[in-house]
Amino acid sequence: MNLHEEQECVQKAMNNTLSGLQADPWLVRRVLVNVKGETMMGRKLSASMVIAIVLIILSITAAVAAGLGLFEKLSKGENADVRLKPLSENAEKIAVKATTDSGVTVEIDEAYYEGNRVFVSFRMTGNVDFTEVYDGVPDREYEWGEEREDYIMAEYYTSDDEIIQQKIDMMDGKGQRWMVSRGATPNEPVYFMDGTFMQNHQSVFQRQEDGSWIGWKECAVPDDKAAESLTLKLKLTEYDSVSFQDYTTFHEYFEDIKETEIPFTVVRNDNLIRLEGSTRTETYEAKAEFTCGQIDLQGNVTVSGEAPEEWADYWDHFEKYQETGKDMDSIMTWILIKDGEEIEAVNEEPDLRGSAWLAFERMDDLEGLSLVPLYSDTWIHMEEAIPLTVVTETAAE
Amino acid sequence: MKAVKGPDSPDERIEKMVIQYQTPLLRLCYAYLHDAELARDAVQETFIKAYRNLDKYRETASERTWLSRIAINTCKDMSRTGWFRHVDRNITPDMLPEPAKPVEPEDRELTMEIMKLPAKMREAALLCWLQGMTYNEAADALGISLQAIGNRLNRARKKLREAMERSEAYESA
Repeated sequence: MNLHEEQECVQKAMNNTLSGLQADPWLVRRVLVNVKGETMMGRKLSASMVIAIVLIILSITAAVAAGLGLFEKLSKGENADVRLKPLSENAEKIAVKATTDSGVTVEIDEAYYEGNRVFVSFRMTGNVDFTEVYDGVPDREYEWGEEREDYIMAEYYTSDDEIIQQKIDMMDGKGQRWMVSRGATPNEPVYFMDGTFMQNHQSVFQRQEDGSWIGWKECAVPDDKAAESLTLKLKLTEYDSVSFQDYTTFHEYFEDIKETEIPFTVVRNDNLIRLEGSTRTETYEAKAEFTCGQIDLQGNVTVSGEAPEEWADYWDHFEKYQETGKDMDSIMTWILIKDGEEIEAVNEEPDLRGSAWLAFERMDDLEGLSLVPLYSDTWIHMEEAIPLTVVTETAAE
Repeated sequence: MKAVKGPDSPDERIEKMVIQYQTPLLRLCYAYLHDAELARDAVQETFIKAYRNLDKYRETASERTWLSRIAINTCKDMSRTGWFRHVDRNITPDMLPEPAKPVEPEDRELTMEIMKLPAKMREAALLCWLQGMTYNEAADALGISLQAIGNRLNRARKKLREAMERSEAYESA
């Protein structure tokens, strides 16, 4: 079935099934009233939103979990990465902290180094997020770095959190307001002491009820930097921003003001099982190198040959190919199969040439694993599977 | 003397858009949000944003594509909020609105399965299949690569095929 046929099929099904959804005969009027700033005929707060507002307050209250390591606390979050639980059991306590001049304290709680990755959890407290909102226009000229239409739906939301409520007010679209924010973010990658940085595979942080922030990172250690132990630094960037809303456009001025580095050392766990495999077709060769440790099963599939170059060219020049009507059946990523069942990746970074870095939940039984290419048009090609075989098991010293 | 009609005013343009696109956008938003009231809120918000940005609209994209892009991002914004994640969004057949005309069971089944897709696949599926966007337009609307759109649609196809096969097996049992 081609895209056009798929569209026809889905449109027929959904248009028939959802034909009972009632259009709003007053919608034109409501839109015009709203954009012209009148107050009559605003939509009522729907029941689901009332429930939702109650739920956000409840969820904030329920978020307190004292006395846990941060990996364990993060593992209890909604849709948490399955690797956080083994991380909570294996990570070493670091407990180093630093406080900036403006009163933000960042603490590295735990870290874990396995194979070619470092995992680190951290907490930020203090003046992490300061916001003041003023009526009118800013008191001086700013060179706005970003100007965009912003999402304005604030009339539907309220929050017990004063800062959140200020931001809601800021965005309500009912008057000119400007806002000054100062805060701190651990957005930067983790660095080696010589300034080399590690690519983030994952970087997650979330605000807590008490105003603190907690988060974790999964970072890739370059091959030439691997060592028995690593001394690294987490960077905290403090920023200063001014935002201004004038009914239609959201203007933002953003300036990094200071970086604080927090060094820490982590020792490598070498207790890894290595798995390898390869495949060769008429148009490409693929080699898989994976390791299974205490946290996950992860590794790379590296694809080379004639076809991968064509695939990369296709995705780089997609519009040109579309004009010519030429389609390309290329490898999008690889799927792990065990006993005929697909095991979903917990993290993956495929590239345009069919190569991919993949991570899966760790498993004790490593027999019967194979990686199968997933093509853009023809889907799974079992005949090109890479069987994964255990090649070595290295014990920690 | 023949009267010459000038270009539509913003009010007239938005009125025409509402008349023409309200219903398809409502279906799009409902399929994403699983809630008729929220979907109506999202559609209203979409047209408010459209009105405020009429001057930025370039006719390189169709009005439907432009509005779909605003609508799906409005739905995404709504679903990102903390409260949305704490509301049960599972969809069951009895929650669907009563159709205006008889519906074939396989149409209802396909609609349900599309609505049950994980959010990222659902976005891609709704934009490309329901709204008729090209891969390029959908990638642009969602701010992701073409490869990612293709990947998500492929995964959606696979999930739908498996679900429909399960359903057929169940019915024939």
